[in-house]
Amino acid sequence: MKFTFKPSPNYRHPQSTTKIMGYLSVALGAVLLSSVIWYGVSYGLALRVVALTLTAVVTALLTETAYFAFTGSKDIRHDVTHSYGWITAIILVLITKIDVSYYAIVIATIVAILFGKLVFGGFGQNIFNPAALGEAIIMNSFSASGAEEVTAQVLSGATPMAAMGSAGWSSSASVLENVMTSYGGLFGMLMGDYASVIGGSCALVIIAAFFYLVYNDVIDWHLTVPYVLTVFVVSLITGMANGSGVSFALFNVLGGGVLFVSVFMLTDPVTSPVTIPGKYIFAVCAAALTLILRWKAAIPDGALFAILLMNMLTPAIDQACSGSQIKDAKKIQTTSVVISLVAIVIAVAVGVTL
Amino acid sequence: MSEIKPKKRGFISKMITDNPVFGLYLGICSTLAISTSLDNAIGMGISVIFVLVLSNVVISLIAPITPDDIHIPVYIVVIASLVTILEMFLHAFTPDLYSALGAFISLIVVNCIILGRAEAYACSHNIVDSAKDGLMMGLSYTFSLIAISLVRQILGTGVITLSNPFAGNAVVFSVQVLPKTFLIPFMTAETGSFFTFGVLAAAVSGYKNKLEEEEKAIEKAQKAAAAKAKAEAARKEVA
Repeated sequence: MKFTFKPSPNYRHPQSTTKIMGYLSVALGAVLLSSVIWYGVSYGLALRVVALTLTAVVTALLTETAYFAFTGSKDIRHDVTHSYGWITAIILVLITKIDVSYYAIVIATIVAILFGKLVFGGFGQNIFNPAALGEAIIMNSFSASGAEEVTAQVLSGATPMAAMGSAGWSSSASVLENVMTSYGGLFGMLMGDYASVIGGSCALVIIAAFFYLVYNDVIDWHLTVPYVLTVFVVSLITGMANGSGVSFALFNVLGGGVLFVSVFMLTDPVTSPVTIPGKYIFAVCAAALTLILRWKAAIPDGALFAILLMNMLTPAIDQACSGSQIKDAKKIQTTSVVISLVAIVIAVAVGVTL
Repeated sequence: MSEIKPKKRGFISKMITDNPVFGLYLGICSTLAISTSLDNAIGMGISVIFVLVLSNVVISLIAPITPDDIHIPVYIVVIASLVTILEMFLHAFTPDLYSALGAFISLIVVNCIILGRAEAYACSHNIVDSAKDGLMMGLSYTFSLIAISLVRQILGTGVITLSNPFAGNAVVFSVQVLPKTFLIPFMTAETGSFFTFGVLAAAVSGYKNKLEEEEKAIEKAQKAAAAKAKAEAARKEVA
C-alpha cells in the first residue's frame, strides 16, 4: 500500500517503468553473472546457479499467468510483462544459499509472487518486498532441506555472519581476526571469495551495480547511502567500545547481505517511503534493526527481516512526513532527526553491551 | 404470477455463507491456533458445540429476568460455568485431547461466537430456536476448523490421521497423501494458518458475491416480468 503525498512522481519522471526495470534487470544480471562465474570456477556449480534462476523465473511467470487467467484478465501477456515477476524471482535466487532445494525455491517463489504481491493488487500495491518474503519462507521452513551433496561441498564452513554468530559476536579483536582470515581478510571479503548467499558475496560487483543504477536514475541513493553509513557508524562505535575498531565496522558492512540489500531491496520504490526525510528515517531505522537482529537474534543475517519490518512501517513514516513540504518543513525535519537519533542510540546501546 | 423464484439454498451453502469464521470473522483467534490437526479441530469443534448450545438454551431462559445493566456479566458467568464443566469432563475422560487443546479450552469463555450469539440471538428467541441456532453455529465453526486443519495437515505433514481421544489416542486411520519430499513445513506453523485462513476466507467471500449477483439477476428478471404483465394488463384495459 502506498500513500503518495507528492504530485505523482511517476508522471514527472522522464523514465517509464519498463525502462527502469530494464536497467534493474541488467544490474541484477551482472551480479548473477559474477556469481555464476565464481561458483563455476570454485566448485563447478555454475549450472546449478543457472538452473535455480531459471526455475524461479519460470515459476514466477507461470504463477502470474495462472493468476491473471483465473481473475479474468483481458490481456494476460501485457499484464504479466507489466508485473515484473522475474525481478522478484532473480532477487530471490540471489539472496538464497546455493544449497537450497529446487522444490523450496518453487514454493518460495509462488508465495512471494502470489501472497507477497498479487493478492495485494499486483505490481505497485504490495506492502512487503516480495523477494524478502520469499526468502523469509525459505529461512523459516526449508532451512534444513538443502541438497546434501552441495551443502557438504560448499557450505562446510559457515557464512561470515553465521561464523561470527557462533563465536558469540564478542567483537574482541582476536576472535574477529580469526573469522576474517578464514574469509581471506578484508580484500577477500571485498572480492567475495567465499560462499555466502548466491549474489551477496562479491562487494565490488554490487558497488559497481549501485553506481550504474544511480547514474541511470533507477534507484535513490537517499536510501542506500544512509543505510550503509548507519551500519558502518554504529558498528564502528561498537567496535571501538570493544577494542576491534574499524575492522569490525567493515566486517559488518561487507560480510552479510547489507550491501546487496541496500542496493536492490531497500530501494524498491513501492515499499519505501516517498518523501526524502521519510527515506532517511526508513534507511536509518532499517540499519539499526539490521544490526540489532544480527547481533542479538538467532538468525544469521538481520537485513532481510529488518526490511520486512520496516516495510510494514512505510505508511506510518509517510504519514509522519506528510504535509506541505515548505510550510511543515521544520516539523518534518524534527520528526525525522528525532526518530533517526533514537534508532541509532538504541542500536549503539545494544552494540556496546555485546 | 412470475415463474422465476430464487433457488432455495441448501444446508451446505448456508453453512458456507453464514459461517461465523469465514463469514462474520468471529472466533478467529482459536481457529488460527488450534487448527493444526484434524483431531484438535474435531475436539475443539465438539467442545464449542456443547458450550454454545447449552449457553444459548440457558440464556434464552434467563434473558427475560436479567436486568439490562448487568446482562453481559451474567451471560459470561453462565458461559464460564459451562466451560468449567466441559474442562473437567475433558480432563477426566480425554486427557490427551485436554493437553493438546491446552489453554484454548478455558479461552472458549471469551470466544466471541458464544457471547455474540447470546447477545444477538438467544436473548430474544425461545429455547428451541436458540438451541437450533447454537447447533448450527457450532457446526459451521467445526466445519471451518476442519477445513483449515485439513489443508494445513496435508500440506504440512502429508498425512491425514484421525485418532480416538477416548482410547488413549489410538489411531483410527492414517493416510499418507503427500510424499515426504513435497511437504511445506511452514503450513504447520502459525504462518500457514494465516495463509490458509486468508485463502479460504477469500474463496467464501467470492462465493457470497456470486450468490448476491445471482440474486440480483433474479430480482431484475422478476421486476421485468412484473412490468411486462402490468403493461399487458393496461393494454387489455384500453382495448
